[in-house]
Amino acid sequence: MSMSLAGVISIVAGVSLTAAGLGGALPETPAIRLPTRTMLAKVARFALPTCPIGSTAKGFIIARVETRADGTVQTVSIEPSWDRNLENSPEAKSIQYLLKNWSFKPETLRGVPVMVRSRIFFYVDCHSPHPMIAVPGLTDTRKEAR
Amino acid sequence: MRLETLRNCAVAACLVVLTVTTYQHLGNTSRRAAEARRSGPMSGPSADVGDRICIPGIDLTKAASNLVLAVEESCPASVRSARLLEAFVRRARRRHIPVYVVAGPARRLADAAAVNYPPGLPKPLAIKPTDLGIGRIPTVALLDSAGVVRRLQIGSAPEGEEDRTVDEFFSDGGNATEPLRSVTIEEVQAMRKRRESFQLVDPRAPEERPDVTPLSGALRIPAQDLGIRGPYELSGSSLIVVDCRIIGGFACQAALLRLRSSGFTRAAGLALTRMGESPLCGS
Repeated sequence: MSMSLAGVISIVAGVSLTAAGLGGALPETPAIRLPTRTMLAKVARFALPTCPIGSTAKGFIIARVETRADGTVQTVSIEPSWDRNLENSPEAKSIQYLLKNWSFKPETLRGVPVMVRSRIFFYVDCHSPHPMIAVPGLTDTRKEAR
Repeated sequence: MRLETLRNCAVAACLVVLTVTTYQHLGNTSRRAAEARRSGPMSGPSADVGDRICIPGIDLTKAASNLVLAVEESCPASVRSARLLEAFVRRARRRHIPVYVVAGPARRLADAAAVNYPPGLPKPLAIKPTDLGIGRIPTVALLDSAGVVRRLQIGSAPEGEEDRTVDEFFSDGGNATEPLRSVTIEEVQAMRKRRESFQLVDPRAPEERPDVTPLSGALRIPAQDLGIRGPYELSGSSLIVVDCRIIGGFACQAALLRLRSSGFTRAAGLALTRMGESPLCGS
């Protein structure tokens, strides 16, 4: 009888520890981080916003993008910057909206498609006589992204 | 019969607990290793172009150029680093340049050779990178016969960019051989008084060191973004001064190298910490 009681206690303890252990030790599958240049080489489909009428914004808007394993965009966020005005500008909102429809060639790790996260730089120059929103290294290759 | 079943169950449960505990321990270990990789196992100031490196027991004067690779010390070489390092070794051998690998104690163990050590790399010497004044890994340094660093590559290259990186490293053109310049705050103030043309860069990320007030007129471009944003926001003709007092010595060196590779040949670090001559040169 005492033996069976010990067995039951062991099982209960084992099961609870197993549950606790599995809860804390499940393998994480985080998205792998790619450099901007590598990420831009994987762009399959993209669209860029144009400068809103009357806008005089100038500077960089940096978007953090995370893709699913199939290369479609899962999340987009605008990176905090020193320039709060640009970060919360209509340009930033357009970029965030359009970037969700971009798609990338799937990235694989040892043959298995994986989620990817990266940073994409948008150069906004709505102040010049030729207003533009460009992506260095993608739509503006004069100044190559490194 | 029931007793036996219970005993078997107890043994099985114990085995499960043991497995989970081991798995969890391994998970924590790999997580710690990943964190170490992210932060970088060594982050001190590193030898720069123009500094002198001495390798005990190696006569560098035998060859006009010598290649030194500092490989990872505590964690296995990543696939990306390994590819780049192997590309460097292949190119050096083709040019008959002797290659020396330095690594920490973990790498020098006989067993370590079997664990992820890139097969294309020569056997490491019994010297730590820090003993040579190399504070960051992977680092590839091209030394002349006097041990003076002529070319420097710190960190790995993006996937598929290995050959291009090696080509650039061994190319003879450009001003890549000029050492990174350090300026003092007094020099900056004097330049301001003389109304000289220069641009001051505050290399902090927005969330980094909010307590520090930057010098007036400094452009705020995070160090890691200088390679991309530099060509759009900085003028190539004037001197670019990166405020190295705010970020670490290595981060500042890396920022200056990024600027240099983007075509800004006139870049200097404000109070840039440099390792100078390696400590072994005097012995």
